[in-house]
Amino acid sequence: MTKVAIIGVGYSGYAPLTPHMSFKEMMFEASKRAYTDAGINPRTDVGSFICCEEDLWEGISITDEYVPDQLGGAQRAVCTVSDDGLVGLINGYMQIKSGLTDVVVVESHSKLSNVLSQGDVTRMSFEPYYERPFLTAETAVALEMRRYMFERELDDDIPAMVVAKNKKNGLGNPRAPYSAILSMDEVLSSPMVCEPLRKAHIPEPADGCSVTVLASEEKARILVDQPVWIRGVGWFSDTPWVSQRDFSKAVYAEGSSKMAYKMAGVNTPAKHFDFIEVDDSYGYKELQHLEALGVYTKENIKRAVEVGETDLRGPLPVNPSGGKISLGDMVEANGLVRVVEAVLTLRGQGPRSLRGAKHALVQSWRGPPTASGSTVILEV
Amino acid sequence: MSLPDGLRNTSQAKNWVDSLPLSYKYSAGVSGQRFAEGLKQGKILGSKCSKCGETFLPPSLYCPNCFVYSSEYVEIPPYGEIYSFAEADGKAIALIRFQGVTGGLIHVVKRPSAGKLKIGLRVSAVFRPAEQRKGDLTDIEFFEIRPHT
Ligand SMILES: [Zn+2]
Repeated sequence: MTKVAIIGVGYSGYAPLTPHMSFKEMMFEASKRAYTDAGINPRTDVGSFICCEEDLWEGISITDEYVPDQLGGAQRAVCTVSDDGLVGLINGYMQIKSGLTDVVVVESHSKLSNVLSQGDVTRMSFEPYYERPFLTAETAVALEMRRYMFERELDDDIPAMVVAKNKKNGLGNPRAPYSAILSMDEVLSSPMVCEPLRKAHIPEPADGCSVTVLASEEKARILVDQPVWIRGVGWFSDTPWVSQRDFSKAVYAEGSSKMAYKMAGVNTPAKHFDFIEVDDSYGYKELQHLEALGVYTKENIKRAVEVGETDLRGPLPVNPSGGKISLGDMVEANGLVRVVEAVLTLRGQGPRSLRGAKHALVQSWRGPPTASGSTVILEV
Repeated sequence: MSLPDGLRNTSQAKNWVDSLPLSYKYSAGVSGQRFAEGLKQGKILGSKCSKCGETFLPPSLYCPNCFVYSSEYVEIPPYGEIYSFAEADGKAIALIRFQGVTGGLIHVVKRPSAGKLKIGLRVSAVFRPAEQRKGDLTDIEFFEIRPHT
């Protein structure tokens, strides 16, 4: 079976507000960049187009009807995956791996600034009888956060250190609108939203579109000098019942990474990667995810943060892009946004300290109230 | 991308606002019906798998482990423990877990008059008077800390 590579990436938006552009124009701009990057013409060279989006965020249902033209996919094979962008990438990977086609375009976007009922859309995703009456996204997160910190015996300063680190990492990333130098005191004194969750822990909403072009090995070697190989993929879901989950663990990240490690032959994840992009929502999620990925343990995760092991210049940089904390929450696009960041870094177009990086992992989580997510292993 | 000619101010950026009222009803189903009837009688019901014996709350027609019918509904004593809690606007929401049960209930916990809420505190369900119950989770008014436990 052929190997699968990412041969082009493109993006657009990545801003709190994009009033001058429709979501279709944002997709057009991002895909135009990705096609230029890959050196392809979408009207003649692409076998299949995949968009990742969720009708409720779009404000329009059956959204797959509204996506072909602006991707160069008019009257072609187009479908929508109603999930995080990383799941779309994995679907594209499988289409090529199976020999169905040799070039696939995967797109995902957010136009959150157009969503006037963001809280209600999130609330609609809660189970209506047992969970919706008492939960909001913030309450559900605060419940898990408190339990995780209780079990790991973490003080408030640990998630605050993660937030400060990722805000700072973002300053080196021209695509990260929410980057900043933020002191721990500023995080710890930011308004309490739902104790123990503070405003500064919560990724801010952003608009943006990410596009990747995937190709078979044969095509990739013809088209580009620097293919980024997809070596392993995995996806996984924990129980849908918030009340039945183990709040100390990200079971979905553990399951999806195990699947990806097996495929890629990764036996010691703690030593394998030059950098990692994980979902870093609310600070503590970065830690919970790193444990689930097997790169840290519940015994050494606290120390890793305290001594700066996961800093940009530490032994294992985590979220060198600035993460969701700096890039913003782009809902279904979050995973694909981070793939674009990882690809650019592996090509030497990311942070200077990571030039020469060869192995990367990207992990995503679909956000509250879900317990599902994916992992992708990349290599140059 | 360049802006259209003349558009140099975001206040000129056109958008279109629409709002659709959407309403749903959700069928409680076999297990939901049993749970709701239980609440009306002042009981918390879980489902027990005939194969692995695990008891689940919320109850379900099927066991997620074995993929077989849950044969039995069991009454769960209304005494639980705070697994975690979140506080906002002077109100505390907690996940209450019960001994020997997978899952639990998310509900309001009444703050103690003295001392603070803590993970691990034992709580009990306070039901509304029978004539006020409707078969939904508000039939439990709140959970309260059990003294001296
Ligand atoms: Zn069973």
